[in-house]
Amino acid sequence: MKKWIKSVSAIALAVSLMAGVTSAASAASTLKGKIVINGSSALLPLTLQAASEFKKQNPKVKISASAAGSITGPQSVRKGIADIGAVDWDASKDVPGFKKFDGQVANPVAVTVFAAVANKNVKVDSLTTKQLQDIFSGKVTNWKDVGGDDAEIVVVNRKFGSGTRVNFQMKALEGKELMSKGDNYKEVGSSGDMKTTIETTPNSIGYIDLPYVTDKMKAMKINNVAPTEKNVLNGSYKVWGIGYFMTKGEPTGATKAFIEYIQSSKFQNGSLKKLKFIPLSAVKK
Amino acid sequence: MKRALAVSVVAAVVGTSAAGAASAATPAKSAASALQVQEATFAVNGTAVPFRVVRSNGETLVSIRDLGTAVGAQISVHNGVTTVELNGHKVEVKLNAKQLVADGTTVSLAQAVRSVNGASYIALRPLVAGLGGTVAVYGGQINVSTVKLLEGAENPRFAGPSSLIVSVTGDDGRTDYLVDAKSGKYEQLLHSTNASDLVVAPNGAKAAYTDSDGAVYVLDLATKVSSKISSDNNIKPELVWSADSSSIFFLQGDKGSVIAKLDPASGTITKLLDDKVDYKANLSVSPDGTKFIYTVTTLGKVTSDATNVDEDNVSIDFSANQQQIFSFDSTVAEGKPVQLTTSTDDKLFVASDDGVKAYYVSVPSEDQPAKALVVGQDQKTSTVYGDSDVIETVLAGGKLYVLASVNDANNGIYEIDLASGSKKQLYTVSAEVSSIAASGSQVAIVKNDQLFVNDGGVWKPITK
Repeated sequence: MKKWIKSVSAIALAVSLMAGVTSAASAASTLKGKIVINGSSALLPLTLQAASEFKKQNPKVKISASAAGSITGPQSVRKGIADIGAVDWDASKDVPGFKKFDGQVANPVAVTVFAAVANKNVKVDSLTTKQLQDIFSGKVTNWKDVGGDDAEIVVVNRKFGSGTRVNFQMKALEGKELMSKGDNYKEVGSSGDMKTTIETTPNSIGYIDLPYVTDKMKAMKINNVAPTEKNVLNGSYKVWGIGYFMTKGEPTGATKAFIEYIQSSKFQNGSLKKLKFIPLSAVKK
Repeated sequence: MKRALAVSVVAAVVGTSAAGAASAATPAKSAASALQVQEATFAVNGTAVPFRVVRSNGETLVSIRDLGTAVGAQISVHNGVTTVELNGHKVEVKLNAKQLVADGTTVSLAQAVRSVNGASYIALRPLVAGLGGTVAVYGGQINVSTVKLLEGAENPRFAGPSSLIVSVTGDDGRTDYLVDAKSGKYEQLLHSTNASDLVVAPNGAKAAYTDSDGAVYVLDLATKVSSKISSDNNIKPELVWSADSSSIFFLQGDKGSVIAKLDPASGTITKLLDDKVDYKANLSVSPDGTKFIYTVTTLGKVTSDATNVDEDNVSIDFSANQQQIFSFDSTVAEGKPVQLTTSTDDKLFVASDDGVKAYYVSVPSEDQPAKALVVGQDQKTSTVYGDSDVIETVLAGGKLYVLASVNDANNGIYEIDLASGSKKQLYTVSAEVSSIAASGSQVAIVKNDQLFVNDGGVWKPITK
C-alpha cells in the first residue's frame, strides 16, 4: 500500500474512494415504498416522465399510475386507494361543480395551458369569449354565424369530473353553462379521446390541454390571442391552470420525495418543458 | 529515471507546509552555488510538464518561471521583485526573502527564494496556493491544478473518451458545459431556458436537443453553434442518435406513441412505427438503424362514476399495470413489435446495442436485490450480473458497466464484455458513489454530487 500524505486533502478524498474505507452513509437511495397515482389524464404524461426519472434514482420505489379524469384523483385519495390524486384544480378548495376535499393537501406540480381546438376543416381562426360561450351553450350552432362556412357545429365536451372541463368553463367561458345534449353534441372521457374525436370529426370544436394539440387539429385563438406559453407568460392568454398532486395530509416518505422531485428546478426546467407544460416558477408573482 | 526522481521529490515538495512551518533552513549565504539543478516531472492541469528543481535543506524548490509558464501565468520582474499573475491572483517574490506576498498578504516560507544559474527557485505549494491553485499527490505523482472546477454539475455524459458534458441547473435555466476528463477544465456549451437534455452523438462531435415547441437542434461541440434541423412541433420525449451519428431517431407525441426518424441534413421525418400503442420509452436503435428496443407502460384500469362525487364511486385495477420490453424490426414487411418480457418487475436502465437483445436492471420488489438481466428474441432472460444489489447499468462501447452495492461501506464497478460475456471488477468505491458514466474506455463516478475520473488507479475530482 502506498504511503499517503495526510496533509494533502485531495489525497484523503481519493483514499476515501478506495477499497476498505468505511463511509458515513450510502448515497445510493435506500428509499422504499409504493406510490399509487390516479386522476387527471392531462397530467399523466408528466407523471409518467417524472416516475421514470425518479425510479432511476430510487429503484426500490414502485410507482403505479392511472388516469380517468381529475375528479377521480382526490376521490381515490379520500377512498384510500391512491396516495396521490392528480387534479387540474386545487381540490382543497370549492370550485364550480365540486366541493373541496377536506383534509387533503394540494401540492402544485405544473402549469397547464388549455386550448379551444377545432377540426382542420374549420375556417375560423379566432373566437371571442362571447362566441365561445354561445357555441358551448348551444346558442350558436352553425360556423357561418361566427365567420365560417355554412356547416353545423359539432360540440365535443369532456365528461363531468374532467379538470380540463372545469378550467375551460371557468377561464374560457367565464363560468357560463355548457350544453349537455343535442344532435351535434358529443362527450368524451379523456384528453386522448378528445384529441382523436377532434382530429376525425369535421366541423367539430372542443378543448384540450396544450401538450395534446397536434398539427392534425386547429388551435383557436381566443380574443385574437394564440394559446402559447409565451402568451401565458406575458399575461395575454388567460386559459391556464395549475395542476396539483392531492395528498391525504402533508405527504410523507416516498410520496413526499416524488412530489419534491417533480417540483425540483431540474425537472421543472427540463423534462416538464419538453412535454409542453410551464414551470410553476414562471407564473409565480 | 525521471519517474524515480519525481517520486523522491514528492515528500520534499509537498510535505513541507509553508506558512508557520518550523524552519530548519540555513541562511542563503553562498549555499546557492552548491545547489544543483535537476529535472522533475509534475502533472500540471492534467498534462505532464518537466520542471527545473533544486534541493535545498531537504526541500525541493521549483523554478518560478517554469511553473508560471506551465500554468499560463504572466511573469514580470521590476526592481528586483518577481511578480506572477494568474486568474486575478498576484504573487510577488524577492530573491533571498523568506516570504512572498500573495494578493497583498505576506506568507512565510520555510526556505528563502534561491537563485541558481540565473533562475529563481521557490517552494511549490505556497506559490501555487498564492495563485489560487492546489497541489496534490495522486499515485506518487505531484499534481498542480490551477483549474477552477465547475460547481454543482450533474448528469455527466461522455462526449468522446476525453470529455464529459455536464449540466448546471438554476432558476434562470440550465447551462451545459464540456469538461475535460483529465484536468477538469470546462467551457460553456449552451445556456437555455427551454432546451431538453443534450443527447451526445456517438462520434462525440455534436449533441441534439429539442426546445419546448418540439423543434430539434444540433449543437456542434467544437464551435458551440446550434442549428435548427427540424421545426416539427410534435413533442419528442426521447432522441437517440444512429451509430454513425448521421440520423436521429425519436419517440413522438406526449405519449411517445410513434417511433420516427429525422434526417438532420434535410429535416425529413419518417414514421417507422405507428401502432397506436402509447407510453413507449427507453428507445434503443441497432447500428444500422433498422431494429429497435423500447419499453411500453400499461396503466391501471379505472372504473368510475362521477354522478355523485361524495360516494367516491371509483376503483382501480392495477393487475395489468406493468412495464414490458418490446423489439421491432422495421425491415420486415408488415412487421409487428415483439413483446420480449412478461414479468411484473420494474425494469430500469433498459438499453440495447443491437436492437435485438435488451439489457436492463430488474427490480422485483423493494426487499429483493436488483439484478442486471438480458432478454433476447427468444423471450428468455438470463442474469448478466446478480452477485449483489445493482444500482445502475450503463451500456457503452460494447460493454455493460454495472454499479452495484457490495456492502454498507462499498460499491463495486464491474465491466461485462457483451461479446464474450466475461465479467471483471474494475473498481471498489465508496458506497457514497451514486452513479456512473462510461465511454467504453473510461469510467466516471458521481460521489456526493461531485464528479471523479480514474487516473492511474486513483479517482481525481473534475468538478466540485
